[in-house]
Amino acid sequence: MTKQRVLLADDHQLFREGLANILDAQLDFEVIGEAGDGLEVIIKARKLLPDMILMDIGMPGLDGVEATKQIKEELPAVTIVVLTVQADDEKLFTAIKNGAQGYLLKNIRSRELLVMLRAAARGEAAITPALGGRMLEEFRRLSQRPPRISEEEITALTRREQEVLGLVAQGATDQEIAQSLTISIHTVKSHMRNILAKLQLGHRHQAAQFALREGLISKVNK
Amino acid sequence: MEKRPLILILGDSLLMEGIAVSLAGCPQLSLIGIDYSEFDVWQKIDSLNPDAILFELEIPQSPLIFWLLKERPGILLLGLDLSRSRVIVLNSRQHCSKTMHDLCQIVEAETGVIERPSTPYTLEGSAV
Repeated sequence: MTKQRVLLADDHQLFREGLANILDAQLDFEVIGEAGDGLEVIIKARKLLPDMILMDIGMPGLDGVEATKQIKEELPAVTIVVLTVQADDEKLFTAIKNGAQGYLLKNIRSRELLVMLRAAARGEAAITPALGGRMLEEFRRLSQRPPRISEEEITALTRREQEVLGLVAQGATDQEIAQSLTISIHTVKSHMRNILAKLQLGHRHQAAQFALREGLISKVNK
Repeated sequence: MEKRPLILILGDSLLMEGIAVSLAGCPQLSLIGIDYSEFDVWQKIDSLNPDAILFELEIPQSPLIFWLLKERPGILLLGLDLSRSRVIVLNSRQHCSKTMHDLCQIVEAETGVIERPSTPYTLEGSAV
């Protein structure tokens, strides 16, 4: 059986030694080295060329998230699984973006850890269901976020449409816009339809939000 | 044949499992692992009557620890503080304190003002 050659990175030696003993007791894992901080794990990864690195996040000097990024840039084939007490979303998402194959919390039981590590070795994600749920939520949030309006789309609006949109963003009603620009309310509605069509938006509330986000108010007020 | 100290590893976190695996290689010790979340953990500890209990300080289990300190002073309690890389030995030395004079004596003895009494207190309330 081919053993996964594992490098452990954690600043708590007692934890490292215990984890090393758990892994070494398995037929398919072999701990080939240990590191106590982010710089040491980079150096040992270059030297030992492990199959897998179990990476703590909170380490002195260089943290595990940055170490993951640097190691994956140099050694893209190595599988890095984060094993940490920190469950915050930012660390999770950044570690995954930096190339981590998994993100596990230290309160995991050894049996579950071994299942996850074997999955990671097969190229699968090693993420506990709770953290996986957070990743899906983040994915949904990002996919639902409306796209930014390009400069071309903004300039595709006529001068008058930009003025109308600016007033919409300030909370003006169609009647108020008509009075402000000395045009009929039907013309305002016509401009509004054109604005929504050009920006591919559903209703004026979205248009107002986009105008605020894209800074159109300041542009049209110039 | 000399009796090996029975050490109870309290908790089944990765850390405690790692410690259990590591200490299992120590032939002078007998080890038993037990999860503090088990509903009958108090009775189990009572029936096992270990010489020492190793537990994580960061896990909130103070009612159990206080009960052990009060009711089972013979068991050595070893609290592992991983963040500071240390083990805190909880001292469950007990004294009889029926009067204010007793209390003053105990405070003075424990703070080193006077010599510590040599006779330990038993659960029955009498010095042995």
